[in-house]
Amino acid sequence: MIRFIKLTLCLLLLAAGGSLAQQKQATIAGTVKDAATGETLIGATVSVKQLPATGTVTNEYGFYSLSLPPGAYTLIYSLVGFSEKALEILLVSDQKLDIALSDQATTLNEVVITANKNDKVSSTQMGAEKLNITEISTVPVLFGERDPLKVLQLLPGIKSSGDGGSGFYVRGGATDQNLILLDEAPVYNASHLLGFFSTFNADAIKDMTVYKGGMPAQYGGRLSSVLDIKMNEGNNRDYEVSGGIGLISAKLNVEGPIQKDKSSFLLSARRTYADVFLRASSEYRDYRLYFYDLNAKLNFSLGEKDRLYVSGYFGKDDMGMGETFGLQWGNATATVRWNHIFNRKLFSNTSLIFSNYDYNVAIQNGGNQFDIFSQIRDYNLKQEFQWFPNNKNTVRFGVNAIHHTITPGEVTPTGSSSINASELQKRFAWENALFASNSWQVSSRLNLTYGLRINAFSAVGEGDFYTVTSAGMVIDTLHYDKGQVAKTYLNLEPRLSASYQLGELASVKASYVRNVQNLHLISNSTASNPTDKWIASNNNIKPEISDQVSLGYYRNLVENQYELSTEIYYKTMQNQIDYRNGANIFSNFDAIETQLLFGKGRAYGSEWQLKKKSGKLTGWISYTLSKTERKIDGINSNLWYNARQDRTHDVALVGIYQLNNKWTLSANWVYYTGNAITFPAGKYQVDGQTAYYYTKRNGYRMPDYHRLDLGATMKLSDRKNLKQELAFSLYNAYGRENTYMIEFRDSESIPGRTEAVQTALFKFIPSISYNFKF
Amino acid sequence: MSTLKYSATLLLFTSFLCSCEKVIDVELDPADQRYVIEGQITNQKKGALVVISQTTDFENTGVYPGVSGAIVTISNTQGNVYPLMETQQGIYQDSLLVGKPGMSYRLHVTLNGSEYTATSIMPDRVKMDSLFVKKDGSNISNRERYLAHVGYTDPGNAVNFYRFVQFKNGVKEKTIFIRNDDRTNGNKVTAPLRYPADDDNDILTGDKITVEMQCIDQAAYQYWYSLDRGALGDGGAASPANPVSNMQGGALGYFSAHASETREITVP
Repeated sequence: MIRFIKLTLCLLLLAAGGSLAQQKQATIAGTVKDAATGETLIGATVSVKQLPATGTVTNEYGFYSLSLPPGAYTLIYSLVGFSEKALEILLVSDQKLDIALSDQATTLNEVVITANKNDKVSSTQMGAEKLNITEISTVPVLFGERDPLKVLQLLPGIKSSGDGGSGFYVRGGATDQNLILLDEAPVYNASHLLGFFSTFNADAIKDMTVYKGGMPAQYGGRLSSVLDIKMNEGNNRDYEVSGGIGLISAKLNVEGPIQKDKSSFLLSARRTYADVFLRASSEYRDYRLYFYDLNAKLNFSLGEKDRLYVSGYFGKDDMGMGETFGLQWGNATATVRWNHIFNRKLFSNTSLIFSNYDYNVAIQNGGNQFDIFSQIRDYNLKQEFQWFPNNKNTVRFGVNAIHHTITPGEVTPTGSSSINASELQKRFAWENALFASNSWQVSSRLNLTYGLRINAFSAVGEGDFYTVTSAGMVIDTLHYDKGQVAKTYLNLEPRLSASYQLGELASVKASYVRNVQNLHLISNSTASNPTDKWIASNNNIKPEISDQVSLGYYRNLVENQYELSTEIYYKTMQNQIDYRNGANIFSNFDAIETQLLFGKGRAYGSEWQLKKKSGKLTGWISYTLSKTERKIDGINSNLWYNARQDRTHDVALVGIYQLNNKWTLSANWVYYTGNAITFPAGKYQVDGQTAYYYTKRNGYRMPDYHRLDLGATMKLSDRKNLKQELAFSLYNAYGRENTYMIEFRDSESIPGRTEAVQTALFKFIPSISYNFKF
Repeated sequence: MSTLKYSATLLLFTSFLCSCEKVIDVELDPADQRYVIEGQITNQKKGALVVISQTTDFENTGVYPGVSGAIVTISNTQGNVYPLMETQQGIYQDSLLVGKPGMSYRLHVTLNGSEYTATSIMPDRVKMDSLFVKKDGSNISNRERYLAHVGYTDPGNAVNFYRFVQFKNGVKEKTIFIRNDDRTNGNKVTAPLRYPADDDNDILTGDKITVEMQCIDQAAYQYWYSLDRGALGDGGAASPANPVSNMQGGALGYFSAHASETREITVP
């Protein structure tokens, strides 16, 4: 703690030192908003015509602060999709300047995007990808359901976990190594319907940024990436209703002012109705299969200096077959945030966050009927300050405390049953962090961001903690009382990044980042499963640690119409977890660590993207060449082996073409090397049936994956305030049977032979949906 | 755990649009052959049986020839050593050796100059209270078919593991039926033997059903569990692997000392 205070002081002094050398300055601060809806705008650039090296970007609440020597300036406000706004000012003393930018596209689905200065070349952050909602809404997707997570997987370095899966791999990380935040609340399972859809309703989302490397110090908790999703605030000028009806789902979004220009609300809901069709068929009438989710947000301006946001998400999936089997799962999150502007240079945000994920499995087998319930629940407090001491430095510092409760499994017999009620021990933990960082404009070309995150993770009672041998045997059990700390891990996570402008058109960046992860997802199936288990670090399970260095080069081409970016990275990972051969992670057993093995990982690769940012045709080509390996004692004769998510090549092509005012066409094509997989080296017989003999872990590859999707959006003629469109899509247009899994079995046709059988999930899936807005 | 199997069924159902199956060619690197030793001793006559075979390449057709010429013995903690004679190629038996619950047994195999050993303790016998069939109440298969159910009373003072082997008209059902008492300790248990919904193995009226109930030790349970989860070729298993075995010396297989009881019924 004392170390942290000292460090913060040092940082602050350093920043302040920068300002001492300068003449007296005045500060311009304010909020940038969307003129039409009153939504605050994130990441809008504020630049000064007279001082090309000076500028700032609005923060996640639309706030900016810029200190300049007194004088006459032209301030330029800009953001992708909005008309640039220039403002002449005579700066004498501190002043407040709130700005409203007008949307370039006033129609429902305009896609002509113009180049903007706020791009990868000029931004100081590296390893980040920002998704624009326009891109999300035009890229064709499965069942026509606009899915931000699916579009994300078309970016370099971010790989889909496979057909239908909304899990994704970032730079060799596993699917649980992504920190997914919805209005700051962690989402533990971002998938609906076993991964065919993500929990994020595109209608409710305002901004989405993913960090693959160089994560800023305010983020922590997962090894591989941070996906920061911000929900819309709601229009505070006018009421707005929009919605859509598709083949399998319908959605509705309502927003509007509570008090004009001061407060607003947003409510967005969707539900699938495939189950309605199922009920109509006699064969499947007992099947249940649906999900729904709700996003809600309220925000209030409490005078000039304070703003309050309340937001929430609630989603539920239900699938089952009569009384035989049922599985319900869902996330719930709630966030209360209070922005306070202390003065033009100091911005504060306080967040209280709740996050919950749970599932319930109901099973009836023979005379036995029982429920299994499992849950992970967080309470989270975050206090963050942003300090703008001068026009060279932006300091962020704060504190974050999370309390985790994990309920691994409660078994409740229902009806008559020979099953005993039982409960695995609840697990409790505190995850506390202090962080500070400074973004320092060293010269007109060089920008340095340096920071530190101090992470303290404590596994606390009440509960039994075990001493486990390397062979997985429990040799001692220690009981800890409620609140008593069983084990604490203190980790320092340095975060460093530098960017250097090579003239107007190009830049290079470098970064080093350490990340620590204390919650681990244990899965023993190839598909993401809602019943995968979250476990916390304890005396046996150590925090996962990753160190990543990356280097990037960015260049704008052809008068900023094109942007070329390339990054290379090398990442090492410690304390990676795998399960023992034959592990039973679903057994009624508290000491799950007896079923686990620990080792290390490494990942490296290079990522390329060429993006066309303006004109009738926009889109990108991305290519990733990478390698991901693991080495775990007890697996693969203790040698390095390919991680499941290791894919050599990964290509995505995305094109969006504005044909005319009525039609927009889009297409995307993906290709990647098949996942690493374990195949048998031979076979033998056990008790009369064929068993397979294995030698190497992940020594083989699934067949290569490729797929083309096509989409078209037709704008229907506007009626008064009503805007409407029809969206068509064709998923897997040339009907490639991509491998979902490969099974080895005895041949039915030729006795005595064994065969490999591949299962593909999708051929062509056409869909149509109708969207409206008024 | 059956949950996963159900969700897999549902998952496939979810994708009723295609879920196309296709036999594909995979090029598999051949590996060195390994011996497979399956050993058991029971509390019944003719229960001492050891079968020795070998792994073969995936592409090879048909038979798994037995391995002759091994010296096979089973000994107990009292120091008695019983040699097993090769009665057919690769099959070693002692028809008089009857095991006792509570006793520890050691299998010793000498083959081509290598030694393979394993130890297993025969658990106390748990009586089969009943064997009966009931219509498959679930609608997973959407067909009229029966499931065999085994009733037993799990002893509350011990950790128990069970394996059931089901025969329909003398043909062994391939499903591996195992249970532990994690959630049923000390209870009267009715265990349904749920088999996959393939047309040709449905239990129907008139079928003769035989079920052997084995009280196995933990190592045997681990073996059958991990065999089922990771070595039968299922495409959903994240990391297929050889089953966890109690066999020392580098052979595949297991040695299980178990108390066994068999009953038979005809489906009404």
